[in-house]
Amino acid sequence: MIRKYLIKQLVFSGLFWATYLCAQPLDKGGSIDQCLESPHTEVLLERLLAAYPSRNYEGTVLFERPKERHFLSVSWPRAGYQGELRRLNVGGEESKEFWPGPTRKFAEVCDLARAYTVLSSEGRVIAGRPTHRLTFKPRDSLRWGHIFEMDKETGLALAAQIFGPNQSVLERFEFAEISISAESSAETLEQSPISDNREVIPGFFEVKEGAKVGIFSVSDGFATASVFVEPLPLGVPLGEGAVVEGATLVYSRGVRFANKSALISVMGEVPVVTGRLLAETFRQALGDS
Amino acid sequence: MTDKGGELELLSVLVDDEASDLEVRQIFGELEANHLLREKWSRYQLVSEVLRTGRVSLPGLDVSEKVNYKLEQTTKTALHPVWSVAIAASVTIAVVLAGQQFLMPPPIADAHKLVSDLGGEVVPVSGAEPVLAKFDKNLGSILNAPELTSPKTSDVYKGITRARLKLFGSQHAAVAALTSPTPFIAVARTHQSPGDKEVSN
Amino acid sequence: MNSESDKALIKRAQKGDLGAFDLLVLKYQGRIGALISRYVSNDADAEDVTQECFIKAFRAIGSFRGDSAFYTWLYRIGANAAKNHLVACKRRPHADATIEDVDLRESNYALIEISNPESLAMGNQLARAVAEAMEKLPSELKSALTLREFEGLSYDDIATVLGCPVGTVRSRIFRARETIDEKIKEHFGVMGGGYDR
Repeated sequence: MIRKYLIKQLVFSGLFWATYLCAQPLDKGGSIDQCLESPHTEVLLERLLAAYPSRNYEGTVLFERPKERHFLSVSWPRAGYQGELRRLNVGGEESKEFWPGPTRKFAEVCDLARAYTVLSSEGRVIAGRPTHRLTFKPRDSLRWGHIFEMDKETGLALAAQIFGPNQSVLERFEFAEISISAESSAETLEQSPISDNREVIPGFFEVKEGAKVGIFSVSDGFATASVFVEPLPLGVPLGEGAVVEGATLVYSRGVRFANKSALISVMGEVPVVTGRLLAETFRQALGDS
Repeated sequence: MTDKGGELELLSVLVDDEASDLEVRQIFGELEANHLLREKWSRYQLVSEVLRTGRVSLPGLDVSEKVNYKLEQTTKTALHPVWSVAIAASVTIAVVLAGQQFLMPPPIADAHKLVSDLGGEVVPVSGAEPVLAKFDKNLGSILNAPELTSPKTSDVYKGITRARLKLFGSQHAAVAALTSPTPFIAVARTHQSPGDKEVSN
Repeated sequence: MNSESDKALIKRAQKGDLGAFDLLVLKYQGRIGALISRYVSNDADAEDVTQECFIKAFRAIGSFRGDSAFYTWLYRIGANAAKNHLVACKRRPHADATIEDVDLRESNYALIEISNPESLAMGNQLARAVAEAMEKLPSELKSALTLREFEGLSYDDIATVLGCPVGTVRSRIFRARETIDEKIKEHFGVMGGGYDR
């Protein structure tokens, strides 16, 4: 289970304040929850954010990326407050993989509204269930766009896409079939707010919990990027490179600071510019440490 | 003579200290003729300060006119006017020649973009120099600039990023699963095809 | 890249170009004035000392080698000018500040006391107007300006990061600045006309 935060104290210059300033929502008259122009869209988004993990479900998913297609069997929850995934088209014995259940609400409507323009429309019928469609258009070029088609009855996401420039689809999934129970048998979700240690770095990303091994992760509520810092392997020159698979970027940069060198790698469903900016933020922090 | 939009853009470029010598000369020519450009410069600087620091220092303070007046009173002519003109002319010729090269659009082979955000494999760069990426033709098109690529560094970082994808994939997936309404996709992404799948054009 | 590189202006000023130095004064007078105001409480005196700082800077600009940022160099001149003024007036600095305590980090001047409430209010209004205008910018303009002002990236680097030509970067940054400028003009009592685009 993920328990510890890895909150690295970065040296934020005026960049932090200016970025935070630009990320602040404008004062709106009325309730603090009215962060979207359309109350209907806001209600749908709240339902999407609340549906998992509050519903048990089990089903078969088609997951696609360029030149890849996988059929997955997924179910939530399993023992130990985790979900289970089995890959159905892998040759040989099926192996089970797990994902951890969240310990708090992972995103707030207002946080997402700062990073995305949210639009709602009628969705398709997916796995025999009618859906609403929520489109998240990025407000800047530091993140991709998202489309969710959520079950009208329960709010669960039955299909989703991540799209890049010119509406190019980077990855998508869709439930081929699903069964959903009335309510979850999982442990009660702790509805605590995001930690007070939240920090903002370029493009409005908040620091979220780190993994067991203490990676530094940032998220805007949908897109997550993890930063790994390790010694630069022997013989590796300074430079940078990246590989992208579907929506997932891995960007690595070999840097020198003081008398040391390091390899900073950023992994996440973000564009290269964001990977670069995150790596640069860490490079500067290393330089100041 | 530039049009109004052009001289304002030059002013903006000067704010960022990105103007070529020719452009600096152009904008200073305009500044002498138009006082409003000077005010625009001041406002651009204030905006820049606010963006970087969140506040502005003493926005009402303006000592520039008095400073300029005092300096004009005390500055002496360094050279006889004739020599100043001669030097200025030679500088102008050099700047124009350089400026013409600068202002010519770069040939296609020199254009460079790091556009790995549409999927596929990115050829790594050497230091801060960008190189062009190859990526899935279904998702876009790019230009190659092989002269900017160090093949050795390219190969090294190709291996490094792929290795990190395998090494850190599951750790990232565990974190990403916490911030998504569809957590199983984070796990699904960690799958690697047998034999290190190559993404190519 | 230093986001406050002034090479072109400094080069011209070093050749005696008062117009170029005037632009440097316009750029830095607020910050230097705020620094000096920490030590020189009288507004008229502070303005005089600020003027003196820039005059000294112009006379010494030939010795500026670019080893530090221009603002850092100016800062030292300003701090010395303030100190000399205090010595000449045989006054003590107000509050607990001493020249040695001042942090050279740019962000620190945000903590400097502003003796003039009107100036403070105007500054806050202006800052808010800029922030609001920035928030409303189209995303491609906002990204370009963000990378320039926050990251201090060169145009070439921004072009690389955003995947567009340098000319597009120039244009976007300019259009972003112009959009924000249109919104803040009223704070300066700028009448219409002059620069109809």
